[in-house]
Amino acid sequence: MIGFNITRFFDTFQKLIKYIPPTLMILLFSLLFAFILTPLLVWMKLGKNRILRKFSNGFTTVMRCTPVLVMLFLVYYGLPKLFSVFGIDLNKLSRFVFVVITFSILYAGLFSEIARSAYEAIPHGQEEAALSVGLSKFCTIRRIIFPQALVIAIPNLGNAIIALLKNSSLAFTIGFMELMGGTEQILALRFGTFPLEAYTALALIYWGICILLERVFKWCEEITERKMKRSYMS
Amino acid sequence: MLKIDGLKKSFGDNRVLKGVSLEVDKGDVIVILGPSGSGKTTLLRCLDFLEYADEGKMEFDDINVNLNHISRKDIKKIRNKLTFVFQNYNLFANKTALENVTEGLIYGRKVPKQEAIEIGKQMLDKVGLSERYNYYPSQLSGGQQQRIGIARAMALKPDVILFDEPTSALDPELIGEVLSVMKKLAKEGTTMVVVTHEMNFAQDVANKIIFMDGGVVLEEGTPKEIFTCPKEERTKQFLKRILPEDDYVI
Repeated sequence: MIGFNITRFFDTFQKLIKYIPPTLMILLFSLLFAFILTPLLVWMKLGKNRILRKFSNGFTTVMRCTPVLVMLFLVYYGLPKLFSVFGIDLNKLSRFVFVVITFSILYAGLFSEIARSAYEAIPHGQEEAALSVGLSKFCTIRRIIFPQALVIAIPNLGNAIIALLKNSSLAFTIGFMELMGGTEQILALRFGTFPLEAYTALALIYWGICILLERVFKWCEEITERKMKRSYMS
Repeated sequence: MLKIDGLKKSFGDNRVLKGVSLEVDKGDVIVILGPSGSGKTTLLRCLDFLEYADEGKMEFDDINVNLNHISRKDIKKIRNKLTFVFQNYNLFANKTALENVTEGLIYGRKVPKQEAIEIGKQMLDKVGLSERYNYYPSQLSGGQQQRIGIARAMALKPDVILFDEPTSALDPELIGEVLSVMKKLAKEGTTMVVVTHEMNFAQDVANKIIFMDGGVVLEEGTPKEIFTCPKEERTKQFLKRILPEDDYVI
């Protein structure tokens, strides 16, 4: 191919492999904390306490209305300032922590909306029926509501998680070395030559991970749907 | 056995129940009649605490509660004695017919799983669904779903079963199968409170009819009293519109 240096492409590709784990770590840890925060937010949203409800809705609004990059900078520059007021020095903290905090709160806001809408899609009568046969509120949610809401939420969750993976490339702007940061560094070391080869390699890696994630979600969808229709086969 | 006194309930400015009193004895089949919007469903829902009454007293065997401030514990105790059959079945969509029946036994009443499955099968057999243990609600007809709803309510061996228009959401063809199950239950001495528009069922099966309108009980009596010589003008009007002329003489 004219103007495309295959050797350079493979070379960058190989060098980029070691940056895959940091990217996946961002994804994993952000998801972990987002999934811890989400039930809390949903509980506040659906609860009777007005202040908690307002807080949770407000939190979601702020998270949805802040561009990822802006939030990343706000957290990276803002948190240490905030904590220094209390005499806690965060400046030595790894950049990874700031990245994970940013994505956790951003995506907790998003997930809480996905979860709320999925919850509200389940006919309220089933909850009443569960309470009336003596299930506790918690048991009703765990055994009746959650399994059905999950089926509804999976496609949206999948979209959001793939978006999170792609957005993790912004972490390089505060100097965290993940895939994007790694590419920039490789390019800098060879004085910016062969950028197309480098970015093509980068894109291919992102595609690979995304396709894998897509497959996983498709599989999850199929499993949950099959469970609802199990008896056709029995 | 169950006694309600002065039950009041409003939704905002809309006063739905304006002081309803009701007495249910063991073995009673009470049918509540009345035009839509008269508060029949709300009354049943208040009994099972799907809605909370604003005022009123409830006496259930040895439990004596004031409905405007009732503890979770009392609600649980009373719910253990009552079950509810819903107008639109409200089966758990992610559970099979059998699981729908056993869910309350296992997770509500803490009955051992094997025993619960036995009871569940018995109940489904009783409502004529022996072939459908492992079907999901979405694969069953409305009549079959409602019969599961009834099996689910019966499985808990409640003192009273509340039926909230159990046949109103069904095709005319399917109403019969549900009513015959209910008739069978009544014959076995199950205590039931039924809100329905099925006049024949009311006439044949009920031992007491309650006529409600505008949030109050206007009239109560045996089916014979209500259907053949209603005292209140409003009851007469209502029955006239529903029953064929020549079925009764005023």
